[in-house]
Amino acid sequence: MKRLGGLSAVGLNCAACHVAEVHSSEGATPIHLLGATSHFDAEAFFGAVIVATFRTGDPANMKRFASAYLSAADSKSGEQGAKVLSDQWQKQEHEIAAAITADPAGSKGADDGALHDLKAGDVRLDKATLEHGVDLTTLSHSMLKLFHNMRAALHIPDQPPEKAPPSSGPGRNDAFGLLSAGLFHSPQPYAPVKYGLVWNVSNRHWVHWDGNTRSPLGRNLLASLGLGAPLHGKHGELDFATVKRQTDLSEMIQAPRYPYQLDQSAAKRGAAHYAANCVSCHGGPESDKRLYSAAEVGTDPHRAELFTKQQAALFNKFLAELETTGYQASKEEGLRSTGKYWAASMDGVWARSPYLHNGSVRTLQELLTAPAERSKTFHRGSQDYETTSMGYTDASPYVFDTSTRGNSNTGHNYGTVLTPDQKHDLLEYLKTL
Amino acid sequence: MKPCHCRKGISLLLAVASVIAATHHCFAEQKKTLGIDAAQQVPKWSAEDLSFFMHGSMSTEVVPESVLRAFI
Repeated sequence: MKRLGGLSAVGLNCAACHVAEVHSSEGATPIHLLGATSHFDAEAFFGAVIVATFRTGDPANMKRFASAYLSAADSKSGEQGAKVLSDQWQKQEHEIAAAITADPAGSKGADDGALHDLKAGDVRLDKATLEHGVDLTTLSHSMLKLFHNMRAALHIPDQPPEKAPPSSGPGRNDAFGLLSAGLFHSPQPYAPVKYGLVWNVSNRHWVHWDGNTRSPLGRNLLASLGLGAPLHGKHGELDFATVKRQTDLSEMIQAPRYPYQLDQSAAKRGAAHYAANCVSCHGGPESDKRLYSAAEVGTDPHRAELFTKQQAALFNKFLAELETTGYQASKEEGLRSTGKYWAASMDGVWARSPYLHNGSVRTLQELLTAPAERSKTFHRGSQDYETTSMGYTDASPYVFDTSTRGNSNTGHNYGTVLTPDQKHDLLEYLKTL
Repeated sequence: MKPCHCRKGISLLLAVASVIAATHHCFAEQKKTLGIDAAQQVPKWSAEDLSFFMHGSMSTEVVPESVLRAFI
């Protein structure tokens, strides 16, 4: 990547958040579900990288980084290369420290949010350059500029935040909140959601948990620009064709069929409970009749409240003015504010753990439990699927706390008064969808 | 048609057939390795489509590999 000193780089694509790996005791090999909520913790990944860039703006840490960077960049440098680096570092130590101290964030010479113009040789470090004698002072400063470019592409300011934002955990983030803060400098109250399901999307006109977007391409352009494709004023530095191709492919994904054994007799009986308890909201055409207020459903209201008319106007204006080769802004606005939640179709519902828009209910069995009796906390991140309760196991380091703002697991008490046998039958039926 | 042209034609057809079979086999292996029921979820995707969706770019490359390895 030219903006990264010509270094090869990694980033996210649709699959990072929308392909899940699922393990089960009933299956010999793990399966991958296209379009499902993944277990990837995007905030933790980027948070770790960004913190590392800030911490390497310190002479002692930069020295350790340089040694590790040499090994990573030139696997043949070995102990000899490490020694040469160490010797040369020692000779230039004072100059290196002075350069880092003068510009620890690597921001000097770049306007607010702008990227430095890094040449291919600026961040090159290998045994060959060491043997020719490399100016480690200039290299160290170039690394800081590289870190600045990484942060700028992610819309992270050069001042480390005073307070860490809430941690959404695996499979979740506050995408629109992050975009609003990064693209419009308009931070919003925290309202996390789980990564959305991307199957049978072509059946829907409006997508997302609140039915706020009818432009999948616009949505993915926003995602690209929020996840590392740089923005220079109104110009997005991205390959439009690849974003379009990812979008077109995702529109073709169908819901995954339940791959494990199920009780066919129970499923037959369950169809009636589904018709009585679920179809009125989750069945029928994919129209605005599927929109329900948070007050009516009783679920956490923060996401529905987040995307206001002002927010919709900001995003629509951004997409209308966006300039990137190959992109033609649509004449109709792609985003709107509904203030409500969309009752999604139930195809592949077995694969949608955890449940509700914020992923606050671990299993379908628990969703059929009275809200007051649902788990107040659970562990999120496990890839092991429980076929009886229909959801991932309560394991993994991240603790989901339903008392945290945006994480409430109340509401959606439909089907909770069924008997245990009836619930079993309904769950078996849901496996067939 | 002269016998030598017929043999060339058959050889070409066999070569094309083996390439198609190999490609199909590769896609089948790729799906099997990834544990994806592509025939059910994405019946219209080619092997290249699957590879692109899983690993292709959205212009979001932002962390140099060597930097990431060094940080780790």
